[in-house]
Amino acid sequence: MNSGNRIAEAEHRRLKASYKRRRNIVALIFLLPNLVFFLGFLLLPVISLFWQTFHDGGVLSPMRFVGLENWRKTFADPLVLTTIRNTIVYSLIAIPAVFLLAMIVALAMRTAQHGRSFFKAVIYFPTLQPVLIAALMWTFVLHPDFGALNLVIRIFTGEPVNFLGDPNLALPTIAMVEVWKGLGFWALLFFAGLAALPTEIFQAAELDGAGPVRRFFQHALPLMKPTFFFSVIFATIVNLQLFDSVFVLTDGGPSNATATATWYVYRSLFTFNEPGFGATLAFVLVAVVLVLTAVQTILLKGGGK
Amino acid sequence: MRIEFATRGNRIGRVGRLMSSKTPSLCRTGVASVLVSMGLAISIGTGAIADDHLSGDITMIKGPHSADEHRFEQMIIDDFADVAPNVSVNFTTYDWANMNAQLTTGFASGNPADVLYLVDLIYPNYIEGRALHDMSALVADPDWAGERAAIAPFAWDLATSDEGVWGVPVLGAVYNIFINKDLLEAAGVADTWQNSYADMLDAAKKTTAGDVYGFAARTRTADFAFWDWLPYVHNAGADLLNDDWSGCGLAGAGAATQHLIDLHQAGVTPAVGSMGTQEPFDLFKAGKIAILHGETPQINELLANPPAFDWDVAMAPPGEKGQTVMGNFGILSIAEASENKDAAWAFIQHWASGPQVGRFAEQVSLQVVREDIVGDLFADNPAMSKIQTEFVPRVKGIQPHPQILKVLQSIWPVAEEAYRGNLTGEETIGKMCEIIDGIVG
Amino acid sequence: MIAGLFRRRPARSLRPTVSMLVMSYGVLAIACIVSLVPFFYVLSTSVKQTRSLFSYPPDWIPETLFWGNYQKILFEHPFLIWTFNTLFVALAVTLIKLLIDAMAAYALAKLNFTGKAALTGVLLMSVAIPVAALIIPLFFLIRDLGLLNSYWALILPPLANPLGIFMIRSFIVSLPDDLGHSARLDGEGEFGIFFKIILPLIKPGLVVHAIFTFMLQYTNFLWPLVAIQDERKQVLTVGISSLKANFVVDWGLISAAALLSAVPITLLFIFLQRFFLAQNLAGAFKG
Repeated sequence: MNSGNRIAEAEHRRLKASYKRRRNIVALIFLLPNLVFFLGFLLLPVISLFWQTFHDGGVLSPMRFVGLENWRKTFADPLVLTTIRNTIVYSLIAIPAVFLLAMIVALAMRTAQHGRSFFKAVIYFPTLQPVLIAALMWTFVLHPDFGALNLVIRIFTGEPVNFLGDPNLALPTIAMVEVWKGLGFWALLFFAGLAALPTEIFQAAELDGAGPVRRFFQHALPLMKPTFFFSVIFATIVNLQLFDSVFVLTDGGPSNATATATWYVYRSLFTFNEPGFGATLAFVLVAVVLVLTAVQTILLKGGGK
Repeated sequence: MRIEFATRGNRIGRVGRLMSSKTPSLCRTGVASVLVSMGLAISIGTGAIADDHLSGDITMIKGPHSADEHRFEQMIIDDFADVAPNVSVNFTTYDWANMNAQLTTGFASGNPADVLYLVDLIYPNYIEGRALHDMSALVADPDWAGERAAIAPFAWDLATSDEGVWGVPVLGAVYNIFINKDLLEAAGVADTWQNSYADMLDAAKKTTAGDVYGFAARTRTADFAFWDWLPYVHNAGADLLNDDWSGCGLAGAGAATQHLIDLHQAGVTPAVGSMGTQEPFDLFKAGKIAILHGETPQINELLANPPAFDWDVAMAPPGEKGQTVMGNFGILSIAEASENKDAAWAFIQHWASGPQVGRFAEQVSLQVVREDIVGDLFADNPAMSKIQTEFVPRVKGIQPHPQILKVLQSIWPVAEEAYRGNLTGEETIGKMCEIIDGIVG
Repeated sequence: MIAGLFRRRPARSLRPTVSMLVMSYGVLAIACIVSLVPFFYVLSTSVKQTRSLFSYPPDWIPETLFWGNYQKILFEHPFLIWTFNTLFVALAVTLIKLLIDAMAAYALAKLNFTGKAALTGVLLMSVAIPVAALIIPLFFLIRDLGLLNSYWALILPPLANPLGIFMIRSFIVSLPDDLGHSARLDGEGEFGIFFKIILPLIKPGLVVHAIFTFMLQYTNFLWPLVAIQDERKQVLTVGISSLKANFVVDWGLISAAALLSAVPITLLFIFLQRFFLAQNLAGAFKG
C-alpha cells in the first residue's frame, strides 16, 4: 500500500517532469526563431558594445586594447556632456509638446464625427514620410530669406527668424519638425485610447453635472493611464535616439547646438574613424535610456496607485 | 606586353568567381563577370588586340560634381569600351556629406569599389589604414611615362606619402569668389575692393542696401564653411597645423579671422548660420549679393542661365604674407582589396588621359592638374580659363594629415560662435588651437 | 472582443454643444493645413524647371508645369532600383517579423514554461535599448558575417527588436483560454492551435504590427546609410539624400524624388487605412 503509493508518486513526478519538458520544448520552438535574432542582433551587440569601450580600431586597422582610454576621453570631452544635454532638452521640449497637441487633436476628433476618416488620413500623412523628406520640406518653410513661414513673419515683425541658424532656436526648431511629423501618430493613438473608454463613464459624469473639461481630467484621463504609460516610455526611447532630422537639417550645428548623442556616435565611428570612443558614447546612451525608462516606469506605476 | 596581360587575364577570371561567391545577395556583379569571362575566352581565341585580355567587372565610386554626374561618367565608360571591351565598369556615387561613412563601410566590408575618387580631405586616413593600393610600380611603367610627366609635380606630391604613390591626381576644385560687377560699380568700389581687407569690408558696406547683401561666405560646418575661411588664414602665413604637424599652426591668423568676424558683424551678410552652399548662390544669381564665396562648378550655372548683371571671378584680397586661393585635389586610387587591379589601373589611365579628364573638367567646371591640356581647355569660358591660368598657381590646399577632417570639423563650431560676435579673432584662434593640440598633439 | 474594439457608439446624452463642435472642426482644419502645406512647396518645386530651390523672389505657383524632373529621376537615376530595394527589404522584414513575433507572443501569452517571467522581463527591458546606439557593434557583426553591402545587412538587425512581440501579445492575451483548451481536447497540437485558431482571430493586430514594422523600415535612414555602400543596393531614404551634390543642388530633382518616394507608402496607407487607423491601435500598446 505504502510502497504502491510511493511508486505512483514517483510515476507522477516522472510524468510531471516529462510533461514539463515537453511543455518547455513546445514553448522553445515557438520562441526560438525570435530568440536567435534577439540574442544575435540585440543582446550580443550590447555585450560587444561594452567590450569595445575598452578597445580602439577595428574598422580600417585591427582592434586593440586601450584600457580605460575611451572612458577617460568620454569624461574629458566637453562635447559629450553637450550632446547628452541637447538630447534630453530636446526630449523635454518635443514629448510634452507633441502629447499636448496630439491630445487636443484626439479630443477634437472624438467630438467631430463627420469626415473623421478624412481628418485621420490627412493628419497621419506626415508620419508616413521619411524624416529626410520632412526635413527637405521644412527647409522650404523655415529659411530666413526664402521660407514661406518667414515671409509671413516678416510681414508682422519686419525681421525674419533664423530658425535653424540661431543656436538658441535650432534645437527647438528640430523639435518642432519632429512634433509635426509625430503628431498624427500620437493623435491617432490617443484617439484610439479615448474611443476605447466606456461611454457609461461619461454619462455618469454628466449626470453628476461635470462639464467637458472636468469630464476629461477627472474621468477620461485616469482611465487612459495604460496608453499614456506606454506612450511616455516609447516616446522617450525614440526621442533619445534623435538622429535623422539633425543629420539632414543641421548636422549638429550651429556651434554644436543640435549635436545629439546618436549624432556623435555616428560621427565618431565614420567621420573620425574612432569606433572605440563612439562605442563608449553609445554605451553611455544605452545606460541613460535604460535608467530613464526605469525611473519613468517606477514613477508612472507608483503615481497611479 | 601581350603575354603579361594574358597572365593577368587568367588571374582576373579567378577573381571574378571569388567576388561573386562573396556576396550572398542578388548580385548582378557575379552574373556579369561570368558573362564577361565567357566573352574573354572568345576574344582570346580570335586573337584580338592586347587590351582584350583585360576583363572582369570593376566598380568606380566618386562624389558627384554635377547633378548630371552619371551621364558624364557614362561617356567616359562608353569610350573605355574601345580600350578594354571586356571590362565592364559600374559607376556609383557617394554623398559628399557622408563620404567617410560610405567609403569606410566599403573598405570594412572587404569589398570596396575598385577605383575610388578621393579628395585630400580624407585619403590620408585611408593611406594610414593601408586601405589603398600603393601604385608606385604602376605609375613608373615606362609606357606611361609621357602621361605621368603631363601631370604637375605638385599634384604628384599630394598623392605621395609614406614612400608610396596612392593615386593618380586628376582634378582640382578651386574655391573662388564671385562678384557682381554692376553692384560694385554702382557703389564706386569697382576694382578697389580687392586691394585689402579694409577695402573689402568697405565695399561690402557700400553695396549693402535693402535686400542686397554686400558679402556672403559659408558659415556652417555641414557646408564645409572652413574652405571660405582658410584662404585668409593662408594669406596670413598661418595654417591649421605647424610645420612638423605636431600641433596647432594657426598662430598669426587672429587678424585674418577678425576680418571675417567684422564682416559678419557689420550687417552686410545674411544671418550667420542661415545659408548653405546653394542658397547664397541663388541670391547671387538674383543680383542680391555683391561679393560671394563660391565654388567653380557654380560657373556652369551662371553660363547656362546668364544673370541680368556683369559678373566675374576673383580671389580674396592679399593678406600680410601673400595672396592664396583655397583648393582641393582629387586622386584616383585603387583599393588594396580590389581583386581586379589591372582593369582598375587601365580604367584610371583612361579616366586620367587628356581627352577624358579634359572633357569632364569642362563639363563640371573643375580644374585639371595636367599641364599639357590646360591651354586648350575652357576656350569659350573666360571665367574658368582665368581660374585655371591665374588662380591655380596660387592654390594652397590643406595639409593632408590623417585627422585633418576631424581637425576642421572640430574647430569650426568655434568660428561659428565667433562669426556671431561672441569671440574676437585672437580668442577664436586660441580656442581652436586648444582643440587642434588635443587632436594631433 | 475584437469586434468590440471597432465599436463606435456615441451616447445620445453626450451630444457636443455647438461651440465645442466649432472648436473641434477648427482644430482639425488647422491640423490638416499644417500637415499638408509643406508638401505643396515640394510639389511646386518639383514641377519647376529652375535648378534653384530659392528663386528670388519666391514664386510658389509656377506658370508652366515642367515634368523633366520626374523624367530625370525615373530614368537617369537608379530611383526604381532604390524603390524596389526599399519595398523588398521592408516587405521581407515585415513578413519574417510578423511570423516570429506572433509565435513568440503566443508562447509568452498562452504557454507555460520554465523561466517565463524572467524572459518576459528581459525582453520588456530590451525594448528600451536604443537601437541607434548599437550601430557600431552591429556594423562589426554584419561585417564579420560578410554581409555588409547586401540585403541581409538590412533585413537581419531589425528582426531583433522585441517591441512587436508585446504588440501582438496584447491581442493574444485578450483571447479566452477556452479556445485552446477545447482544441487540445480535439487532439489539435500547439501549432495547429496557433495557425488555425489564434492567427485568424488576431488578424487586426497582425495588420497593425505589419504596417507599423513596414513604416519603420520604409523610413529607416541611419542603418542603411551605414550598412550599404553600393548605390544600386541602397534604399530610397539614403538614395535621395545622395542626390544632393555638394556643388549644385538640384532641388527640383530632389523634390520630385521625395514626392515619388511617398507614393508607395501612401498607397499602402490608403488601401489598409481601415486597419491602420483602427481604434485597436491603442489596444496594441496596452501590453
